[in-house]
Amino acid sequence: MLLYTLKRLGLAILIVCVAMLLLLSAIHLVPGDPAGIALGPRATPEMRAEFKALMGLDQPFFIQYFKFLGNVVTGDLGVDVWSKRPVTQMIADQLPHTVALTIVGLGWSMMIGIPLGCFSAVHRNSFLDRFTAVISVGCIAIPSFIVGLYALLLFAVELGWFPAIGAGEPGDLGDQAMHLVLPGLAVGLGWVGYLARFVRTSMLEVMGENHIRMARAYGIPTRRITYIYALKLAILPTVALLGVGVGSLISGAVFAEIIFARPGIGKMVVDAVNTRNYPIVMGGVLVTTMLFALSTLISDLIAAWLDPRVRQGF
Amino acid sequence: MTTTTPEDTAGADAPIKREPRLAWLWQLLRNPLGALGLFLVLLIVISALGADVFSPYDYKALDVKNRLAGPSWAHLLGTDNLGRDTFSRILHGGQVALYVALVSIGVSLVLGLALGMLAGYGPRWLDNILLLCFDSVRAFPVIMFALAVITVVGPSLETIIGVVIMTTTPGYARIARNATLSLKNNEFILAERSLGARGKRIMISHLLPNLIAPLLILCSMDIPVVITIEAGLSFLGLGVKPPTPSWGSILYDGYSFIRNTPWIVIAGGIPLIITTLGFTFLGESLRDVFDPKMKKDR
Amino acid sequence: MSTSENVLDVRDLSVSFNTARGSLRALRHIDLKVPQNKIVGIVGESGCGKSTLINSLLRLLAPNAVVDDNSEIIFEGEDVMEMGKSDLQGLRGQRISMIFQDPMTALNPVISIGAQMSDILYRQKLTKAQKRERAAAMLAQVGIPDSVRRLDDYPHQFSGGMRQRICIAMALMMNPSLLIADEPTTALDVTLEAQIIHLMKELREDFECSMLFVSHNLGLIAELCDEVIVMYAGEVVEQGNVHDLFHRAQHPYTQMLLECDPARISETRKDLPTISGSVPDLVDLPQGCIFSPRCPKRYEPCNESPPGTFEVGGQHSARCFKVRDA
Repeated sequence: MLLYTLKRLGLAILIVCVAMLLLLSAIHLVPGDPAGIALGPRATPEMRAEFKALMGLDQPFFIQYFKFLGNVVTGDLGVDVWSKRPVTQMIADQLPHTVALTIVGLGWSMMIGIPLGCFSAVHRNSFLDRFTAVISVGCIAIPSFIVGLYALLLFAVELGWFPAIGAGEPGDLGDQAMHLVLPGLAVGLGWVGYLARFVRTSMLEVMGENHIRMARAYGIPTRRITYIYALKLAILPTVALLGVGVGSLISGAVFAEIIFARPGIGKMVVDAVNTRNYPIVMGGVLVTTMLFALSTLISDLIAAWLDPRVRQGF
Repeated sequence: MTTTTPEDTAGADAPIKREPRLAWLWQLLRNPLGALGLFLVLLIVISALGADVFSPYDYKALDVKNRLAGPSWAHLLGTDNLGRDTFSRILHGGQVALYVALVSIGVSLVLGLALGMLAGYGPRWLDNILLLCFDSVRAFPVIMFALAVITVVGPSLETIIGVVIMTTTPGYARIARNATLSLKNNEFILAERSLGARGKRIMISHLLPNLIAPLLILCSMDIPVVITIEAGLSFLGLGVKPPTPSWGSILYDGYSFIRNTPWIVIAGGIPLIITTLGFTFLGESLRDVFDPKMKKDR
Repeated sequence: MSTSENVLDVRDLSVSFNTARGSLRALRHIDLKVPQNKIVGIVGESGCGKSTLINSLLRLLAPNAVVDDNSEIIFEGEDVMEMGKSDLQGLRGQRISMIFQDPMTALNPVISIGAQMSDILYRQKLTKAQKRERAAAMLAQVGIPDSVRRLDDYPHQFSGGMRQRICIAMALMMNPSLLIADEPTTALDVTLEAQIIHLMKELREDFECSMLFVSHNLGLIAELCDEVIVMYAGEVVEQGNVHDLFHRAQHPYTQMLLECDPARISETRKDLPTISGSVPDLVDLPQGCIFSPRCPKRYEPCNESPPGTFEVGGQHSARCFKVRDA
């Protein structure tokens, strides 16, 4: 298990490094003058040079890259261009909000998606199965910010069931939880569809296996077969998939944070884009990419640990 | 999509038994979801192409006296905070959305095909490096990646297209790579190569027919994703520049006035829902038609 | 409870499957009896309907299966075909139990052996500890060393032979009156096969249950069974006691099966004898005898109508016109 963990950790780090390399080269390759765009047409050449130096954009590409990596290792992501606060500190302040939102979103999608998938698999090819299939596709297709806007409109503005904006009173967990309901739904609804389909497919696969036939022949009650014997196996690949889910949930979280005016990495980055605050944007991208790599890693490890065949194999 | 065997065409008088070329279309339309998808897609495409004809107003025309109006016969979907007709803006927003989708997916397709063939046909190390790159691109949350690029080069339609190309290309490249790899080991190809046909010609003439179906399906699935990205960035104010209308910026305008009038948000969301659902249903049904094996497990 | 001495009495069982090509008639007019405390063997090529027969006995057929209305499966005086959901729950694993072909896939890989075994005991009012005790005792009885400690192990920690022992233990947990063994040793190598067969013989004496033993290994059938049923393409073509069947086989198919058995081929020959042709299409049945297309002894009546079952003497009967005309 240790070896497996290390191997997966190494791969995760490699992927983050390559991803950042690709990002920097993309920025480097696009034509255009960042300083000119940031400072407007009336900026003097001196001002542009100063701006570039401030952002480290005046150095050769690979120097920029390795300097960036080196800074990451030491936890130094630079300072806010305008307020001069360290970016690491700002991220540390905002990250918990985004993580909480992502987890609630994941919770929503698991709470609805997994039972829906089980149900579809058990009642295979029934009317409700087909209906669920259409619903799943719908959930996947509809953009999360539409879900967020409509949810805001219906449940917060019109019905007033949930608060519309903000993260809730600090320290008041109940209030904060209420503030997470709608944004969480907006973030998680798309994954309801993915999960329902995925769980259905893997349930059907497991239900066709020999040991399920044997459990039936031994008279184990159908419910127990479905929810213990089959689900325990079908859930393993689903757990591994959830890590991938976190990546797309973070994209949704950006919108949810804007729509519901919540603090978080997404809002911080969007604000920073508008003020050309390059270090904050890079920090935000790095953290979310790392978050994604980390969650994939963790979910893989959980899936492996849940499977006795893998758990004891290492 | 069956090909006729020599026996079928041998007798000139005998009725030639072959499936009509558009058999797949009938199969698609027989599926209610496929028919619905095609209908929605056509609806969006036609309304975008004919935006100038269908629009009751100029999408830029201001009518300050009539700002934030609800739906009426004069303004089918109401007006925004500057008194612009929302319906006309939505029609023109469709043009922007489809333009971004077609251009970026077209480029991704070509680029992905080329990179995929390179990975599949090239040496092992190149394959590994390209695969690592493909995986790494998928590690970004797409929006974050877009935001980073926009910070440096500024928001514009071209920026969006560029970002989308970078993030969707790996999907096409993977399909092309796998197809190339499986074809590379095919005896048929080996035989032809030994006869002296040039490598590139072999690849393209044998690979493309096999790839059309999966790539078409992926395109159909990617279009809503791309449109979502464009609308999302425009919603954040980081997409197309005003006064060019985008569904995202219509939504953003509506969001600012959500407490005064819900109409703009409701109206701005509908075309996005129609488009994403339409293309997704179409893509799913196309997959059922072209890949019956997957149909069993939906 | 009936006074019948047969534990299982299948009468006129016909099963078909609805397929895209039409109705596939997998089983046709099967008659079969399993007497108390006897082992009945079923022989036949793959695809002859053995599995469908077994699944019918436990009512575990696929949803597209249709059982003919005349079919009766009388088990200890009750018709399995008439049973409701709760009756079936009491039947499966409790009164009729089963050992599967492939021990490598028959056990749930993510549930411990102890939990899987205890689960079968859900019908009995026992505490968790008592169930575990029973499970450990069963494991010990089938020859798993250190059985108490191994209850918490998962299937992948056991070898194939061990897993089949566990399956046997699970099948016998509820002390069933009928045990169905579906090619229990096919997936094992020869040494393990001998061990498992030896174990099953031993256990049969301890548990006093009747057995339906499915195999295509004629040697095993001859060694283990009291009576034999030969199946071909969804029909019982010949049945009788082991001695009659192996020494006075009447149906040409049985005769050919016996010839093809590698264990019986005494002289060294280069080619193994085979039965030419393949199993007929069960959607579009031939008009006459089902075996006639492959039969070396066919004559006029074979092509006209399917033969009935004709008695050879005593319990021995065969579905062949040659028997009638002899």
